[in-house]
Amino acid sequence: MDMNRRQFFKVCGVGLGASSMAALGMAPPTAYAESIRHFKLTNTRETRNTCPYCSVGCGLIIYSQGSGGKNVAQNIIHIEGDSDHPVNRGTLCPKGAGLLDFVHSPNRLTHPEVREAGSNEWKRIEWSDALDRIARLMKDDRDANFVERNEEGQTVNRWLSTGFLAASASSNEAGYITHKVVRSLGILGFDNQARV
Amino acid sequence: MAGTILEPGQIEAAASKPPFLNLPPRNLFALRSERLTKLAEGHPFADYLRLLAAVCQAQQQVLDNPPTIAPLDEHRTRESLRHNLPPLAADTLVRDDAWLTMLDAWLDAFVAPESPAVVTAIEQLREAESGQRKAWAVALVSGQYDSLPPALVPFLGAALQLAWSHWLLQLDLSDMREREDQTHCPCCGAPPMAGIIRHRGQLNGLRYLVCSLCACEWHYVRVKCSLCRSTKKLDYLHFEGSPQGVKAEVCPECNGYLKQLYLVLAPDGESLSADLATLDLDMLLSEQGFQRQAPNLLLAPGGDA
Repeated sequence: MDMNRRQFFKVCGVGLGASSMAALGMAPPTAYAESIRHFKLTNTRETRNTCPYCSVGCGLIIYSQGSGGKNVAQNIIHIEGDSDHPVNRGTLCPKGAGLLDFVHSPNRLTHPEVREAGSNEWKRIEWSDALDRIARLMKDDRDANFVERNEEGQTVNRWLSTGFLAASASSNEAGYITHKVVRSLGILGFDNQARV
Repeated sequence: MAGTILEPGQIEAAASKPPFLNLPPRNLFALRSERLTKLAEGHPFADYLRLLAAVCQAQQQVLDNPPTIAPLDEHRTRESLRHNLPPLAADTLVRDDAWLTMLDAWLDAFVAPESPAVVTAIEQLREAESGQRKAWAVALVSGQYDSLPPALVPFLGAALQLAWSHWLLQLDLSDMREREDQTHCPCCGAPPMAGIIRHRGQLNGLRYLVCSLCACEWHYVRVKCSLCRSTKKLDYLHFEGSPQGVKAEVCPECNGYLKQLYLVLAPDGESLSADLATLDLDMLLSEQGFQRQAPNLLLAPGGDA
């Protein structure tokens, strides 16, 4: 029924030519319709997202503006709670309500940095170097401190000298993969979304 | 004291669901009239907006003192609600006689301004026999604008709105079941005229679609096309500063759009008047190839199909 009604109901453009306004002799002069052509349209995009702060996972609507081109980067202008979202029904906590400043913060970390032991200075490094380094340090620490058996000789396979803190607002799949990687290394000190 | 232990159901009740329906206030038409008069100041469509302000004022008069019309068929109302069909189905009731009494009452209440074109249109409507009136009304509620004279549309549309709002306000809707993704009015089956994004209290940030015929509002999830239900790459186009708080929700999937009134940008806005005052946006969107399906019964849009 819905489909029929839709096809039946005519779509149309709005113009003044054959409108009620013209038929009743109340349309503005033709120059007006001509001038509208030169008005500038702005586009504001509204996008749904999830708050990245904690594991509650509140729904957000992010408002952004750009010139409308397909590949133009959008500038985020406003963030508010998503009233349709069953978790938060449009509300946000103070941290969530301050998300716009977080997005535009000049202090926001956008690349990996390292502070060497004994130094008080942060140095920018490449992602590949950072990942290699993390892997190296983890391997060394695990080789040095891995506990295969406890005092009673039972197999425990624990690695207690390293902890792991993973993202809060992540999906079931991401939670599953994080768990598999971290637990199979033997790490016990561990928190992420999958706990909630 | 130790904290109380929550019983099952206590938390769910606190996180309340938004109401599905918002009924229009009893003074709806007076509000529209007032708003139209205000918007007419310095507006390029000033004459037309003032004419419609008078049209709405007459609507309010009749709504306050309605003529006696045949009561709604209770059996039909009950069965419609039971089977999730609109109890005030426009395509059925428009073929009945009841609304014609409303049209006569409205024609009596309306004080036509001294414009020969308006006087002629009113005369034409007054003299038409009921078969012709119904034929025009059927064309209007099904969006066939080229099947009736455009000069009659605002007056005929006003009488139809009046009849349906009158019925809506006396209907017991407690049995109405909430349904998701309603692209047509759950009360009368007509397409929406516009969307309205609320800004206060419990309704803050929620979008409701406003019925073009009976003026009831029903909840519809935001950032979702109200024509094809797509949620992909919707754009919100508007003029600088979004005059009257209106932005058009444009869908690249179906090439259609629906104008949305953001009350947070225009706190004293009202959807019908805001729609009529922002026709410039429609004209530009039409020029860019976007299509409007949303009827405003007080205007035959007059563009190409």
